[in-house]
Amino acid sequence: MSAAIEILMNGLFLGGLYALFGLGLSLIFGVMRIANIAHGELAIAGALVLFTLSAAWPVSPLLLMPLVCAGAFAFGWLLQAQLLNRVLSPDPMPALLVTFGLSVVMQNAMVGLYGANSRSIDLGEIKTANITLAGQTIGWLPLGIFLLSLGLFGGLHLVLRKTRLGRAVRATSDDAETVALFAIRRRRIFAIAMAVSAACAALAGMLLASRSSITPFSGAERLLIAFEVIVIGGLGSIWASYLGGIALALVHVAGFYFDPASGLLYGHLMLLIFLLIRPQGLAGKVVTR
Amino acid sequence: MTRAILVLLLTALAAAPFALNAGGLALLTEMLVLLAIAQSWNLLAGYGGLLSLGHHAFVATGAYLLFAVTRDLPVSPYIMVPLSGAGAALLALALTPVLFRLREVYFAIGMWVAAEIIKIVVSRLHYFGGSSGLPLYAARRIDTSWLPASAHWFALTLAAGLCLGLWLLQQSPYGLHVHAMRDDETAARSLGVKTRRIKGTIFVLSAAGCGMAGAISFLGTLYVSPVAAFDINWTVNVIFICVIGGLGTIRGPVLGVLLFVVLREGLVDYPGWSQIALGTIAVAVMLTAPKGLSGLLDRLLPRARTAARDP
Repeated sequence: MSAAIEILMNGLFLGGLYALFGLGLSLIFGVMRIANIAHGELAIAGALVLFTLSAAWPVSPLLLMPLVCAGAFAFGWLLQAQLLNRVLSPDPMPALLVTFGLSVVMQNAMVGLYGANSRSIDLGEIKTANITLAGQTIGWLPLGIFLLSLGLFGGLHLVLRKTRLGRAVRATSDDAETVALFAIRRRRIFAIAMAVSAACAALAGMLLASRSSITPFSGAERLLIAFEVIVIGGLGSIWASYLGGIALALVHVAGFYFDPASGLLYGHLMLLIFLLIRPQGLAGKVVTR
Repeated sequence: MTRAILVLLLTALAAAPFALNAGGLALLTEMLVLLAIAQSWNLLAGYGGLLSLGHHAFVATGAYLLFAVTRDLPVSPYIMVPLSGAGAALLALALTPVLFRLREVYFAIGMWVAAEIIKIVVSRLHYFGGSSGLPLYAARRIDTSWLPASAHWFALTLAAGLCLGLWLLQQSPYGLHVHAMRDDETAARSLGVKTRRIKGTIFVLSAAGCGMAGAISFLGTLYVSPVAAFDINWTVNVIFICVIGGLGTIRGPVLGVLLFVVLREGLVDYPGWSQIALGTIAVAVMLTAPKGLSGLLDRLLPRARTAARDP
């Protein structure tokens, strides 16, 4: 009984983090119909930059996280404005290949700069602090990450629904050609989407490194998780990613509990099952892929 | 003229085991194996427009079939090389019901996830030696002193066969169907091109090429392990080779393999840097010259091209 509650609780909390990985990818896929193969590497780069910064400045890494996110935002903007906007076409292959090249370059550069060791961000007391609720010990850190990601989803939801920029983003996602007729600069919307996506990825990477640990090779695994989140959740609404994140995390936590040697196998199998039985995902609208 | 040069080149390559030392022969064989995998991937991506990020699964399948079947049955490893390709093709056929529901980005990453699943399953199965892998038990039955030369001839046959196959495809009406499908799938289908069947066929053929290449590559090393066989760098390097050389051309991957080996051997003292260089060049190629080195060659030698076209 308590094992079931433990799996549910851990899956729920981890799901918030997974959702954050998926959010960035679903945002750019929704707006531009391309995927960023370097999404995982961006996340790991965010965490590694935080290591460097917190080694240089004696302040809590928590305070440095917004700074890294701002850097990632700028990087994402530049990536879209300088590289990806040049290869935009109805054929997604050029953009896919450019981000693929970038991911390999980033991974090798990170191995060269930081070595292949596994690292973890030290948040001090927060890491071990916990509360006991209904007989279950809950760490403050996983709970905090879960609540933070919930808050971010809420914030992004409001931006997308209530602001002029959000309306422009949604319109571009529906029909980028027509939107251009209304004096909305499509390329600028793309740059904003990629910038927000990169900031989300960097934040997710930093939170992952504070919860557990990372190596410069963790990027590929994170990309696959983000991809599985958006397939299992479905496209069309950001809350679908949230649902997908929690579903995938529950499967991973249960998988590691019962069969630790199989790694992420059950998550991958769940992806296949969804593609076969429910290609639109848990909550998504029907789209052609 | 071109034909004479090709015959000379093939003869020289076939005679290489008698002229080169062990290290040189191993490098040449590796290049031919890479070329074979690159042309297989090129068939799918450059000709068919389907980008796969999981072709290392087929390389590994071919290798594992060779090692597992020759351990259990009295089959010669040499006969098993083409059969390994057939096995990889069967795996591809089994994957089509799921993967062909996916398009573009989803297909690319879906294929990667499929490769991950196969990798985890193989490294858990006792039959395939688990995470430590298998030695080539059948090596006791053959004269191993001829193994490097045989592997080289196999690799040469496969790579040359794939290049020839792509050339024949370009000449044939079927090639036109494939071309039409890559450029506009909906329009092609409305003209009666059976796009689903074409996609399935080239996917299966591409897997067969990779499977044979995998079997040949690991035949030379006498040992197969999940880490080496399912190394994603098989796919990564081959993508760079095709993109830099020129997608959808026959000579593109040939040029790409040459550049790949020059960069790797030149930067051998700086681990990681050859992939950084390849990735950077590939991105630059996509941005400035999407036709790759092959297209650049066309631009540099306009006269030679026109001469070849109108003799």
